[in-house]
Amino acid sequence: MDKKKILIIDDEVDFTKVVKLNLEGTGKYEVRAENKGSLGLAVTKEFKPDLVLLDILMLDMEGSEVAYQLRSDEETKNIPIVFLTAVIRKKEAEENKGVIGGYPFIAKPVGIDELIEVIERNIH
Amino acid sequence: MARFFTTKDTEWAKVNMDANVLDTYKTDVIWLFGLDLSPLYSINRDGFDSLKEFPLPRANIKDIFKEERLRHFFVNTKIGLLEVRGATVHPGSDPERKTLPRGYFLTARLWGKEYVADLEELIGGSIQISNTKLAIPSPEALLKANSIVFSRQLSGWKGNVEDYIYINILSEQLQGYKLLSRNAVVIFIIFLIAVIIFITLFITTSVNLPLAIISQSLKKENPEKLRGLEKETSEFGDIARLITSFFWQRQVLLKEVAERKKAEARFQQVAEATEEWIWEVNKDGLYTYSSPVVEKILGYNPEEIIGKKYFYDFLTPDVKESLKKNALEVFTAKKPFRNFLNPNLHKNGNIIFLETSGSPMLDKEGNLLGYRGADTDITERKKAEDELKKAYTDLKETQGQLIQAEKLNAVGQLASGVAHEVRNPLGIILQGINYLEKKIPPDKGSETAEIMAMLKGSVQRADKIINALLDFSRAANSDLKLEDINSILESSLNLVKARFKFDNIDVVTETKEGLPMVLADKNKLEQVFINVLLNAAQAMPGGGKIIIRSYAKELKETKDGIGKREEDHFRIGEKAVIVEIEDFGSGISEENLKKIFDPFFTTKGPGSGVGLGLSVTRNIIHMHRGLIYAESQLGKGTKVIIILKISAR
Ligand SMILES: Nc1ncnc2c1ncn2[C@@H]1O[C@H](COP(=O)(O)OP(=O)(O)O)[C@@H](O)[C@H]1O
Repeated sequence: MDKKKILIIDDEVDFTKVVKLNLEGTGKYEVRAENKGSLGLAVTKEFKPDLVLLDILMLDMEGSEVAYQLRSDEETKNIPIVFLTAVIRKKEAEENKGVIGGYPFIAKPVGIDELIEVIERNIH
Repeated sequence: MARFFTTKDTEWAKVNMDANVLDTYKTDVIWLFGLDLSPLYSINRDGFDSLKEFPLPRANIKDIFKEERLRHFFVNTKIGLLEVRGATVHPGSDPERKTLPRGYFLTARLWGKEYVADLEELIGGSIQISNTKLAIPSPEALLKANSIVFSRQLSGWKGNVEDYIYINILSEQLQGYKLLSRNAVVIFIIFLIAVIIFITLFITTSVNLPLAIISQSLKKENPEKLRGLEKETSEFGDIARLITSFFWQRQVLLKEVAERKKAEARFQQVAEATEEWIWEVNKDGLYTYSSPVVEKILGYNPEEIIGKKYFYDFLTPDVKESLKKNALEVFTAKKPFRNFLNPNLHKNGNIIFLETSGSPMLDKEGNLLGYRGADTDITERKKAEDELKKAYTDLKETQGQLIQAEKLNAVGQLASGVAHEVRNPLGIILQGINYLEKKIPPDKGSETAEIMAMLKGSVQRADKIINALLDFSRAANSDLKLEDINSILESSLNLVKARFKFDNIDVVTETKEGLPMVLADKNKLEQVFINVLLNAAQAMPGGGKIIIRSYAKELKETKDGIGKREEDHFRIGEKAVIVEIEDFGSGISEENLKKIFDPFFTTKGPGSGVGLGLSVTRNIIHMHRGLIYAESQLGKGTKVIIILKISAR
């Protein structure tokens, strides 16, 4: 079975590094980390991930904007997106069954088990 | 003639002394004698031949003229009493007869019956000649006979009494005088008449004149005419002063009356012109006056009210008894009252709120006659006031929310910042622990395993604190959620759809899919869009098109609220979600454009707008830390632009 391709876009370099190690450590995923929101679309087009983990609050470009760009592009519009954010409450995410504004959501800090669970739930 | 006495020319005498001379001298006979007493000539009337001879002895002639040159005397002869006149003859150069006479000239007239009758006729009385002295009757008898009687002695040439003559004049005038003197009554009457005439004259000058002046001045109503009379001390002076003071008082009175009338007319005008209902009631509360305005206010005209209605007849049934009782208590206290609010029933059944003020009318003794006052129809005002009150409380509430929101916003921002800055490292730590657990799996129960669990527990504890902080910051505006603007627009539109269909309004939506999320209060944003949409529709009363756009944009322009200032909502270069609602209606003038977001600014008539819509709208947008403004061209249309922050901040 092919490894699932996961793209993580987050300007927290350390976070993407450790998440990539953890996910790839499971042996099930091929992970690419991108720390610039503005490069999100280009990298997605090139890497063609099965799912994008997207941080909402990034300095150069908001996650929602990246999501908007992905959704607006024919090539990328069907790639599932899971938001990662530090600013919503756990409770909110739970209340909305992990979906806010139509997107699945993960509140930071998140453990690897929970992360894999959400990925698996949303990946096609 | 003197020459004749020297020439003794008888012929000359016959030619020059004919019967005509007798007439000239009014005599019956003429004798001429020379100085020697010789008869020179004589002539007599016919029938007087017996007088040819001078009736006295010729020798007496010298004696007759001895003392006087001109003689007049009587002689009794056989034919009767003879009146003789005689003179000595002198030359023409001696008119004073001082020289020796040349002869004697004598004439005589017989006082016969005929002559005496002539005389009687001449004097208008009777003449009696007698040689004896007759008695003259007593004055009484004469008076009775209306006659005057007097006598004269007729002397001879020696001064002797030749005869007496008696003259009796019967006088008409005497009769008059006699009557006059006799009839004292007549005289008295005449006197009376004279007195009356005198009095009349007196009255004319001293009574009629002042009376005429007085009557004139009264008739002309002009006290000026009395000026002269006033100075007099007479009763007329008193009257004149009285009348003048009367005129003066009357003038004052007339002036007062005129002023009063003017004031009354003014009052009437004011009463009719003001929107206030002016009224008077008697002490029982029955209307005695009502200005016509009442018909506009209560639907009854003054005729239906005056003398027919009591003030409490109009009060609504729920308050009638209690207000009547209160009012009558005020009446008993005779106190004025001010701006007393009371609900009344209009003739058509509507409730009219009146604000009543009144003051008591008292007589001299202080007894209550009634009340006088004015009512103002404040129904509209009360409605507006109530609306205002509601709007005010709404505003207060919004403001309260806003302040709260601002505070919480600050806390929220802090919490978000803290959350971001703390949770990210927490995320790294947690992932790091996960990594280590995998790489170097500690034996169960080992120290390493214990430490790993400790690390994980600490991360969770820190996360819990962050969550609590976020919980607190969102406690009040828990409605602020991540929302998709397009779905809010859609639900707003759904709420006005029916109405727009009715108003012939077409809505074109040009919304961008996949817009960034906004952190928003869905209900409040719906309220914003509905407000703006309704304003747009109202600007096109005949129907028209509204375009709704939504898009995301990097803010470039400098506008109020977008810039580099600390307090600005947006920074240049910041990305935001923008909603535009455009209409093609009346548009807004440049001047009004500055005011449309001000509370209570409205150009719509009462009932259709209170001017709070856009003010509340702006408050809601500000609560979202967003911006709202309008672009408009009068007659072309209006575009309302709303800039919203993208979520997660
Ligand atoms: N789309 C529009 N076109 C023309 N005028 C507008 C529009 N929107 C608002 N206005 C003007 O702004 C005023 C204030 O509006 P608003 O605060 O909503 O109060 P209201 O609608 O009660 O008058 C309106 O009375 C109107 O003159």
